Amino acid sequence: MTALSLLACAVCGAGQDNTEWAYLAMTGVVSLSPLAMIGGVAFWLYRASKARDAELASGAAPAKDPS
Amino acid sequence: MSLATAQPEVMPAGVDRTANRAVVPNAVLGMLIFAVAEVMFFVGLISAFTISRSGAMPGTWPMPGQPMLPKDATLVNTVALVLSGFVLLGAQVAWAKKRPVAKWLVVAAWVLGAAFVALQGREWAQLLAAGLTLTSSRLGAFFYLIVGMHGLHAIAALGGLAVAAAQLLRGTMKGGLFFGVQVFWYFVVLMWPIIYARVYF
Repeated sequence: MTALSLLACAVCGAGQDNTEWAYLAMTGVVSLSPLAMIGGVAFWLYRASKARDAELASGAAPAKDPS
Repeated sequence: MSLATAQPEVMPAGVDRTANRAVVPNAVLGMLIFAVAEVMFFVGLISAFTISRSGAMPGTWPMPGQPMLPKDATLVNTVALVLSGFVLLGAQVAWAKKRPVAKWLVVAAWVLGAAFVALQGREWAQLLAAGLTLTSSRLGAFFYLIVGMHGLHAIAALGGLAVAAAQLLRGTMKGGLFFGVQVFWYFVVLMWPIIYARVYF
């Protein structure tokens, strides 16, 4: 019922070590890149928000809306 | 960007809990989201390129009779583009300190970026003349697709830089637009060394 090896596509199943390594490595890159970028942006926004709160709480004149 | 104060328990004392507060310019946030999507576009292309290249039979990358990619000549383009990124960073520092040199630094960054695009165009003409076309091989197809898409982004970002430079020269620049253009240009600059290292070598 199950094949000895299950591979996603004909290219990845070429059986060459290089190809399988490239497939696995690129799967990791494509999977992790968006998580890292979105996490980075979210963390940066969190830091910016906290810094803005601290600035407002310190009684400094509110900066002009930068948008 | 404005964030509503939805979590009053974490607000420091003295902060108006009913007011929205500006955190980052809308242009920056919008451009960041755009850049993340575009990075994933290029990651997908590079991933396909890497897997396809790894499956090539020995001696077929590039195909016999096809030219090698000019990695040494392209290093000059790469230096020009990376340098433009640093120059634009300098422009941001100067602009924050209200120094008039900021506008000329933006113009210099534009010139360096335009030089990159022009040198890339010359390289393409030479490769096409040597027989590397979109349909001549997988290398040709991937090369023109990946490098061409980056070139299109560079041209679009140059347009943004030109608008920023014009506004700085007229003295009508607003921070949001300048920051947004910078994010776009840094995306173009940072993406290129990855493409260069992966595709040319």
